[in-house]
Amino acid sequence: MRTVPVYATVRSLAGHFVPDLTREDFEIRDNGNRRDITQFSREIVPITVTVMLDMSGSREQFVEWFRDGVRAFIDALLPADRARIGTFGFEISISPRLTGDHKYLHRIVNEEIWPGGPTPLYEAVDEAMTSLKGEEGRRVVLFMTDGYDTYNRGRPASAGPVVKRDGTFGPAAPWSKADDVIARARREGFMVYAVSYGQATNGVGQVMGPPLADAMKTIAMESGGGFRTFASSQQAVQAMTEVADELHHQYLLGFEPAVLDDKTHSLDVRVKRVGMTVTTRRSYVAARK
Amino acid sequence: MSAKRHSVIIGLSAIFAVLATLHAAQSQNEVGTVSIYVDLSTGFLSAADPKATDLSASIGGVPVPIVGLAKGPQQISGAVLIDTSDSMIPVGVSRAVRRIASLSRAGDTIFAASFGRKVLVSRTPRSQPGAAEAVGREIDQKGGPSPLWDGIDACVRAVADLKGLRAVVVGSDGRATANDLALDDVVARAVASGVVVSVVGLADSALQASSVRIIGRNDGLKRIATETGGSYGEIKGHDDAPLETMIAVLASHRSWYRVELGAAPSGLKGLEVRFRGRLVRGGGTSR
Repeated sequence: MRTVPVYATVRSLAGHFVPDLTREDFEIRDNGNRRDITQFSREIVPITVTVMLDMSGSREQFVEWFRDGVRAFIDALLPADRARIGTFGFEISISPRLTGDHKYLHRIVNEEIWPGGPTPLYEAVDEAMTSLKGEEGRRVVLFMTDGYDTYNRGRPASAGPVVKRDGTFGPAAPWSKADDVIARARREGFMVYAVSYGQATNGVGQVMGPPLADAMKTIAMESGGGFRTFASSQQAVQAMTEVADELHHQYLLGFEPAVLDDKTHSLDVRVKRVGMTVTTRRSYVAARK
Repeated sequence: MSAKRHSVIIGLSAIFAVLATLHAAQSQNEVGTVSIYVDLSTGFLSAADPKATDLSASIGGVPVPIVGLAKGPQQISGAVLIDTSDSMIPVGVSRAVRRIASLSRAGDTIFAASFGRKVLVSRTPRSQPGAAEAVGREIDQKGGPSPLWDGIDACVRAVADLKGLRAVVVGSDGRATANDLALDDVVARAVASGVVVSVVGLADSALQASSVRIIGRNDGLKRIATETGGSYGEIKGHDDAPLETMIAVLASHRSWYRVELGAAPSGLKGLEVRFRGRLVRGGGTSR
């Protein structure tokens, strides 16, 4: 029987990490049924992450904030951590080397940030997950974005036309890429974080709504990651540093499923002590293979 | 082996910025000649062919004899590097390969290459039957990011050990992404190997409609062209053909001059020498 890993962030009511819990402090329910915790660790789990920056037209003026944020994230990485840096706009690009070399990562940030283009958000999420294919352990994709896809076919027709890569507008197709990436994150156990600038606008400056579209929030929360917002360079730095800090303060729990049925199972992880909140993935696929 | 930068000042009269690089790994007891390729086709020199006796040269302020001056056509060992990324005006790779093949002359070795999802450099010999089709298959790709510096580096390595005028011509919008290599490292390798890198860039007016005007977008391309002695130019409109301009640029290299420099100053023995110079006519002075 295989072990399902569950990474858990536990905070006190004041929002501080709680680092000293034991296996007995946790409870895991799989489809409502309590399971024994067969794996437990509170050691720092090295970060394996692909960081993606939204270069779309709506984000042009915030590129320097993005740079500041991702630089802070790189500086917060520990020696065992590894990262790729990518962007999405006209292109979806991801640095070819998964590395802990801060100089290499800073070079990407300094040389390879080119604002402009549409927002192929869900395609970018998909490619970011693919960039970590074959990696063991906790795999994280971290996005700095407004959360609104303006390129791919995932938008409902009611949301209006999409901005195509050549800058013209075209009709949205019915297929939902967002659903695909949610399913993939669940099936393959990716953890998704999103850090978003205040209010999203489309390619012609129209306000599209509050930060982070619902689909992106769903992906982040379902996966056990999270989302944060910022409205200044300083807040971008703070948000990205917090994500790195959170990833360095997660418990690793594991359990063996009662049945491997290739179906999606709900997960409910609780801490028995009073006054603590726990964040984990909310589901997993009990894959036979 | 250490690296030093030296000026080559070749006396002609008017003002050319000439940058040539070579790897002069001479032994302590051997003083060889070195070759640089320069473009003398612009300006007043087009009216009359210069002779070796019209020129004077110095390296790092030390006079160096010019022992030979050979007018083109030069044998070309080159690579044409095509940007197939999503951000670039689409280029038909098959057609590009046929045009590149038509450029070749006896003695040339010309590779076709592309960058997008991968960096692909052709390997099929030109003399092989059906070579153009095979090369087209070898480098065909569409879309993806822009590993521009990795692509240039792969082309530089492909031609670095060949004979003749070794050149890479690249057409790109300059928005380099997903590179494993840093621009600094790619420039350094190109300079050290003596390969000329010429660039056909895109002016803002030639970019996709919703592109953002980015100050310095082409700086990296200008830099590698300048430091390797290549040319730099930009196409202005969507209808301009970067491929045809790239072909024309590589073809123009054929008419460059080869300048043979004689005994290098003894202080340069055994050093990797990086030449930067300019041409002046009639004993004109330095900038």
